[in-house]
Amino acid sequence: MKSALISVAILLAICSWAVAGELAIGEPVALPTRDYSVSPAVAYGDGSYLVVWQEGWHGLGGKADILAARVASGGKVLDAKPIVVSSAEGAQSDPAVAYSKDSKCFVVVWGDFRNGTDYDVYAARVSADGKVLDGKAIAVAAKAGLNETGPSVGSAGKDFLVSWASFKMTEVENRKTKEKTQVPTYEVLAARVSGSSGKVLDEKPLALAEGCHSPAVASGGGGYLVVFKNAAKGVDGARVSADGKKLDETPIANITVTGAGCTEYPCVAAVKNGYVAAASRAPQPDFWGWGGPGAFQVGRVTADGKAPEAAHKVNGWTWGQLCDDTLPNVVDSARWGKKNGEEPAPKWPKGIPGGFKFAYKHRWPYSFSSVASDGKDGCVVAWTLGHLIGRVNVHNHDVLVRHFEPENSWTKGPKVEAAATKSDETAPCIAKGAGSELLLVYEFVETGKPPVIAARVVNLK
Amino acid sequence: MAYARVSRLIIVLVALVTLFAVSSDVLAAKKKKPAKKKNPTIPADDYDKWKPEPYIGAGALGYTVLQGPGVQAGLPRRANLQFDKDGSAVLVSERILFHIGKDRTVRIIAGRPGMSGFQDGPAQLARFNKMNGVARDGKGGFYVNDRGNVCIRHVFKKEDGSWWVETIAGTPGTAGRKDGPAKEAQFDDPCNLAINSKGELFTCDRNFIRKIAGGEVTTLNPKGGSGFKDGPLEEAKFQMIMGAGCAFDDQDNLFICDRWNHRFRKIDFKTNQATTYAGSGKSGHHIDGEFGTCTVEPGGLAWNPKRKSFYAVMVDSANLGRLEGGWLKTVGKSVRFTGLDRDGNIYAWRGRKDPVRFYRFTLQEGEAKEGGAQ
Repeated sequence: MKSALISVAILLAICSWAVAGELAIGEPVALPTRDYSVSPAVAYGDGSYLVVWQEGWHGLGGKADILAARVASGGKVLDAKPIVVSSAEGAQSDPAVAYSKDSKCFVVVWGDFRNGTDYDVYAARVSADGKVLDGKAIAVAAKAGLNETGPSVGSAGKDFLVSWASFKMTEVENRKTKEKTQVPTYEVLAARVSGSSGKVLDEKPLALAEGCHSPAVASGGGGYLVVFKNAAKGVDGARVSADGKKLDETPIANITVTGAGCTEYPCVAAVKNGYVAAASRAPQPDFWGWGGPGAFQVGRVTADGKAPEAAHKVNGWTWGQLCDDTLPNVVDSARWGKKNGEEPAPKWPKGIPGGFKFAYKHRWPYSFSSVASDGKDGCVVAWTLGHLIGRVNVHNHDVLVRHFEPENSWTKGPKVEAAATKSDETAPCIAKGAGSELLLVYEFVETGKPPVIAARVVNLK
Repeated sequence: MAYARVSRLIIVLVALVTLFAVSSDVLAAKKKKPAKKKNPTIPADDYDKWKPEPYIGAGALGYTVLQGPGVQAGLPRRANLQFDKDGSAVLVSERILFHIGKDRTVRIIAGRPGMSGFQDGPAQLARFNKMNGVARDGKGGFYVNDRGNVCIRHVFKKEDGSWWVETIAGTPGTAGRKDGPAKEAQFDDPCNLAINSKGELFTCDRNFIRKIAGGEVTTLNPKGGSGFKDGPLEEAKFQMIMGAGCAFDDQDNLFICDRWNHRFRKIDFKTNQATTYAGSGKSGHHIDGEFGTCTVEPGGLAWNPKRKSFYAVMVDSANLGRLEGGWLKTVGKSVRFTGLDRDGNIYAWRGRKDPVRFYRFTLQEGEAKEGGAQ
């Protein structure tokens, strides 16, 4: 009996899976990063993933390139040296990637600051065997003096849809004085890129929404859903057909629950019966509690363009439903804590005299998230969790994952620590692979060292 | 009968005349109210003569941070501007430092959007947590107070042109009030920074004034603390000075927004005395007036060297006031003050409805420019 137990223990130790709940997390895989590497993105092609990232500093005086590496199903890195997707002058940053089964290639898009004054959107195709097909990057949106930024990409057939935010001066009328003034805003645009030739197919980009930015694209059912942050309200979206026609004249509003403020860094994935979007509340904990809790939510968009979660509302003054997870689509949320954070407090005391004390269990989920299909009608969400010292000091970040089945009465799996060491893990991106496999990529930052990109295979049990 | 009617008519007429005379006197007396005391030194440049012009920031992008041309940039809420001699500026937000070029191009110097924490070293690796004050070091770099990490940090350019971040005072993550060698010292809640002509740094640490100079941290009012007390600096008391603001004048006197005492306080280092500079101490909505009688809730302070006056923002009303010649006068409304440039132009964001766009306020054509006319 004793030897049998020892054998089981040895077997468990040999096995690389740390089984937790219904998601099994693999051991970390190091990508061939060389220097300061951030903002990873990942897409699955035929048999392998393409992981892309930004190498180098994109701030003042910096130089950043876009690199990539392939990872086989199961987690083996196929490229010992990174694939250089773009090494143009200046800073290239924040890449995104998608794969076309019909064209058998990936398209990588990124924000490009090569002119030193404003962002443009560039792209390049990468073949399934890791060759960059466009030595001279494709200028998707490159108007002089105009910020065109934050691109995302998806593919629904042989071509790709690239969406980005473009600066625009918008005329606004003062309700009282009727005076008209020009106000700086952003609008969300989109254009198709040919998978076979790499040409931009839409001379005039498709205007999806004004006063919006931070688009994310997913493709499913022969079309696309682009979600974006509505500067005034929340996460909205618009469907686009595979041939580049806008299907929703008025954007689909309030994809995440209204009033909860989960509007930052939206992301989206196609699932069996539509799409699932995720977004965060991004405030840091503040001294007074005015900013409310950090939190993440998911929200559905049906194939015919309905947003079921728009019907829910949150009492914005107590944040109660959000913090207590009484809303089914809450991924994770901070909560007010008593007694040095060891006990949960009943309410979120927004701005009470005496100020913010402690978050319950010192947890503060905020900032970046990513969502991927589970291959059925559910999804897997990856997000960033900050750990606090004292009241407001975020000292460590981890990446968590959770399985959701919104079509099945919003069944939630447990929160699983996918990458949770004493070092920082953040900026997760997750993509569905073959079978029950997903690949999670993220930034891994050891104290005092430049960030690198790591990956872990995630399996649905 | 006729006599009686005539006499009644005379009585009524006399009564009416008397009534008219009395009421005239009363009205005249009312009109003779003592004239409002005028301040001859304050020019009539009311706030409606200041012209706002978008300076940087595209407006409500939430937490999305974008580099790029002036008004196209995505900026965080609540930030402080500090201008350099060459017209460029540094913008300090809670976790990101921005460089604003003379052409208004916005670039990130250090910090990571969406990430807070603590890390020194190369700017791209640096992490911050709730910065809210900045002071120029006079050599192209600057100091910031990192409130969440309870320390003071120096951001500077190395010889190879790269930017670097170094903690110069405080024990990151450990709050307290401990004087001594700068890197072993502790701060409780360091808010706002000011630097004098000798390069000595001062920060408001809850109700204590802390000095960082020569590698040492010293509490200037160790016998003070919470409350209100003018007099010897060592015993001076303040209320809720954190989060408000402090600035030096050209005589190296330190001025502090003593928010909950509803006063601007002055520290004269020649006499080591703390005095009330302006504010009656009464709480309530901001009211202009002589320094001794005006009502203030100070929320920020900046010195205009050309005009030799202070600009201050009031927390409650978001009014921008000028402290000059013994008078507090409102010169701007509905603004959240963030800085002055060398020409005396005022930079501000405009409150909760427009929190992430910064405006430059200049006097309309034909008016004397703030500071420039002196």
